[in-house]
Amino acid sequence: MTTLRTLFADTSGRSTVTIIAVLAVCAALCTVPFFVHNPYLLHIMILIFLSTIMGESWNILGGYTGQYSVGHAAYFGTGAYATMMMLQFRQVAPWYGVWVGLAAALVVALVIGSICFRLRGPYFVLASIAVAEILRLCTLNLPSFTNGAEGILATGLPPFTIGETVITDFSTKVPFYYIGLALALLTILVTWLVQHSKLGYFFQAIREDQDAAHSLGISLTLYKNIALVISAMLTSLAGSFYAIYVGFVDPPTVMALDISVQIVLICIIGGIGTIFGPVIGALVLVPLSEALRSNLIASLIFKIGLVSPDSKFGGFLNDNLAHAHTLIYGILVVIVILFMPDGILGFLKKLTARRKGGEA
Amino acid sequence: MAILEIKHVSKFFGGLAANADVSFALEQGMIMGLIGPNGAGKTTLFNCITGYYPPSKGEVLFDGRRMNGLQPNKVCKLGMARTWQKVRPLAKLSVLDNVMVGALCRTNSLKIAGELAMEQLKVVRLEQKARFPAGGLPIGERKKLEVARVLATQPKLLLLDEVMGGLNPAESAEIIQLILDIKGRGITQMVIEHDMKAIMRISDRIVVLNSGEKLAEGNPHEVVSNPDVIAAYLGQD
Amino acid sequence: MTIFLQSLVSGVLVGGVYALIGIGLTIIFGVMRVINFAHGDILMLGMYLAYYLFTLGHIDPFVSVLLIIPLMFLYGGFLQKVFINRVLNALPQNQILLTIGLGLIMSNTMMLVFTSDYKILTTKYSSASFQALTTIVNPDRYERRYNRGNALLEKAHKAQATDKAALYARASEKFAEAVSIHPEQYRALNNWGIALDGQANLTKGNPADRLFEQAYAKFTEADKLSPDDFDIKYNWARTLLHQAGQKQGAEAQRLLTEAAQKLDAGLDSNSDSVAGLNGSALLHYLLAKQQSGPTADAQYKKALEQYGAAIAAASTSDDSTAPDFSGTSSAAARALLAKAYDAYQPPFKAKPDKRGAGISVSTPLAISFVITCGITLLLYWFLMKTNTGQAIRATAQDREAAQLMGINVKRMSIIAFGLGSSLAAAAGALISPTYYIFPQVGSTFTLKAFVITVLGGMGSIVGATLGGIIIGVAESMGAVYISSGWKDVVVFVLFLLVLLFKPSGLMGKSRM
Repeated sequence: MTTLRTLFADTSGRSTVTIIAVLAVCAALCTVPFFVHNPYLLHIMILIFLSTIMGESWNILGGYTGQYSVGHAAYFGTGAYATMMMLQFRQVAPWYGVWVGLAAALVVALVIGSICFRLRGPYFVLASIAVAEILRLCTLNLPSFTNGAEGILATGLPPFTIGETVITDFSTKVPFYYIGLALALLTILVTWLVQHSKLGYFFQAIREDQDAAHSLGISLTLYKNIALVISAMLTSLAGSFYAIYVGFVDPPTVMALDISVQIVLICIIGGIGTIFGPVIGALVLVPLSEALRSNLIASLIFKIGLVSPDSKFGGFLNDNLAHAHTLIYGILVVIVILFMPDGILGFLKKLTARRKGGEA
Repeated sequence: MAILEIKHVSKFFGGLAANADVSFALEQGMIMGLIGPNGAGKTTLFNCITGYYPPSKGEVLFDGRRMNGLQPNKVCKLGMARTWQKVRPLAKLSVLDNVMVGALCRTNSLKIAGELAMEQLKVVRLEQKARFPAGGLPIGERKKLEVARVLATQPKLLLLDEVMGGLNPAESAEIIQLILDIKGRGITQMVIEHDMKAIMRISDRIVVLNSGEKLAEGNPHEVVSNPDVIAAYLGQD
Repeated sequence: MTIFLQSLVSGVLVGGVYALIGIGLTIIFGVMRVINFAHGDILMLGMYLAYYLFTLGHIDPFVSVLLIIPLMFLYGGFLQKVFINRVLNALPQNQILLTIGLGLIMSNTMMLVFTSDYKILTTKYSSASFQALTTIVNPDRYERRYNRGNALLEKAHKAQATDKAALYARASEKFAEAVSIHPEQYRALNNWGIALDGQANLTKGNPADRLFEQAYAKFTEADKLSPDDFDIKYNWARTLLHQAGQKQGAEAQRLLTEAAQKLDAGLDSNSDSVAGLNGSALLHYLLAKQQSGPTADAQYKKALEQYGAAIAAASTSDDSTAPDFSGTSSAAARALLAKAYDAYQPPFKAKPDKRGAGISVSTPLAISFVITCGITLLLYWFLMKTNTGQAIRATAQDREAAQLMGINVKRMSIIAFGLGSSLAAAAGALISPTYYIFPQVGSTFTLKAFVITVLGGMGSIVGATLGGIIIGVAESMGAVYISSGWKDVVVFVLFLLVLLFKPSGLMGKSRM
């Protein structure tokens, strides 16, 4: 319980115990593919990494700086499309295409920032949605450039080589597992660095009170844009990773409003403005929605004997529950907002604090 | 030498003049009291000076430099800092972190900023509460935190907007002492205050605003004996 | 001009429904300062209610809307009391997320229950439309002259020989005026030619030849403008035949040959025209009679072929003018043919051409627009004249002051959310005959609702009404003048421009 409590302790806590715990978890995660050979389990782990990357990226802008963007699909889609377009139209390997995605996300972020950061509160939220929708519609309506509604299907990944040695040919999920893990750790590291620097202080000051921050010498335009650029580029990385892993992009799957909303929900459910909130959010959301998607929940209901699979209702659940996997997002977010407004992490923190108080 | 010069500053909102042709100057190291009935345009004047509103007319000179059109963050960097009538703590950050944000205006090192911040907390006697979340402080301590935070930006000129508002006499006395201590460190101050006794005690000079215009200026004795000022205050009551 | 008016009218009609959606959102925002991201999903529920009331209960959506409004009012009140009420003092972003969550629950539950299939509510009038604004669309008077000319032509054909000449002359005048207004209108040129032909038939000699020449000029022009039009060639050939009737020998033969060429060229693409085939047979027969030897045989053979084709075409068509030649000798056939041919009236293109049409208005949209106006007026009356309405407006203006004045602010919030929801659902029911119905349809409308309310000014009902119509028109104009794929981009760009340059919207703040 000690490690857990330290992990959930004050956000500015930087004890060596935390660092050791994180390193231990990393080491453990690195060995997972040696024991787990079930591709479906690896797939779920990869999705958890992906959600973590997305959540941590958004967290820098939304959680730390308080700028609730509901348009992060723009950067996710930019990364995904840039990588895919380079791969399919220009035959550029994804590990170079990623950089194109990052550059494109930087440009998109600066354009969006120059528009949206003139607005505050709900108006900022609405503007971020509008800009992302414009980008999606452009992608959809410029088929000669992006292949339009058809999307882009990857016809094969070149093997990754160093010199003459083939490191991996991407025939299994294992390389994706390690890439996902590395990227997730990278975003966590970036978040940690931001939090423990001047940037983190300025971001949080802007979140708490923009006018007060302004009067303390903080340039709102500059620091909001820095937060946006970091956030956008990391989100673009997530998009590139998604595109390579799934091998297909089209506007509804990488640029729709749903994606933006899901990114926000990961953070809200886990706890915003904390390093490990998005990790918790991903750990809770991905397995739950995958369980629904793969009909695990339905079979569980049958196993407990709540409903018989042969009954009319059982058959209905069996057929339809899988389609409603985002239902869990909705239910969770309502519960979290109403009962644990600081997210699961904040809720746990409060619980441990109360127990501590009780002991004393 | 005048550190701050206000020259014919006017501020209009729509057709309404919140400030009309206000001019005065602050000498280095002094405490200037800014008084006037509610709605006299005191806070608007602060906002015009610190870059929150561009003045509609006239100019603001700080250290001889024209300040019109500068953003509040630039104003702060140049050495002019302000507090807010309604305190604005960064609620979720700790007291120390609040002051560190101010200190980071002058340094990039968290370590130095931490030390600077701790120093300021000692000045306002809040060092015991350094680790507390700022949102949980009582009003008196919030006001002190506000002062510590602006002090951490190492200002040459401090604009204090009703730092004694809502405080009990003991707390007010503490703040008065604090203002005098700050004066002792050579920092020029302009203070908006409703408590006349306090303002008479601390101010070297007083400007009276009424309906956006400058009604009177002088040392405390001159101002209290000015019939216009008496009329304005009596009229208000 | 017509295209512009057409898109303006359909834009306004759609905009009326958009206004309803926007008003719902703006009332909720005005009273509670909560941006309702579940607004489109509530609209979606309205669509499903209308769909099932129609398919299961056989209630027309324009009637069931009266049922849906109170039902969704209760639903909205419930949402407010149970969920929204708890976050009224929370951070705006938490309020937004709560409504997003509620919206997700609504759409996913609907998907769970009714699957994600697209449903279509087909009423009798779903794809019906009517013409409107015909006179406004044709301010250039072309149409009036053209129609007048046609009426005169019709009259001339039926008139006594003594009146014919004057009527044909007046018809020619009208067509001449019509052509001078729109020289590109081949129908007027064609009918002008017919009128000139009518005049020429009533005279002889040089004046007749001049009139015939004029008629040919009109047909030539018309044929150039519409080369695939069979009727023009037919009328042309008919006029040539008439002139040939006034001539003899080589001149007549030349005219007949030309007539046959014209008609046969027209028949190439219109090989089933009974009248055309009859005419062609007649022309070849006449030519055969003028010639001799193998050329005459060839003409005769051709004439017989055309008879055959005409008989075949007549048996499959319901053209009453088609004579039956079966079993008659070629001489008798000729007599019959000549009679039938003369009895055949030249086709008038009196049917109004595209330019002459009014604006096509979709019937369901027009009905929904009328109902929308009714609902909006009722709402105004409620907000302005009733005590509850005034209390709602007071709450929107200043929540705290309203509370101090003894207004039950909580109750007003419930009513406001109920009202907002019932308006959104009503809009859903009203558009259900014209839109696809599926669980995810809401998000598009949520976005539109934001655009509308921001455009009009958050909290302003007049603004939302205006905003709805502006967005409706911007969409339909964008679809017509840019492309339907880009119309939403137009809307969002408009939205951003308003946010940036007039963030308080067109109608300013909280003018409810």
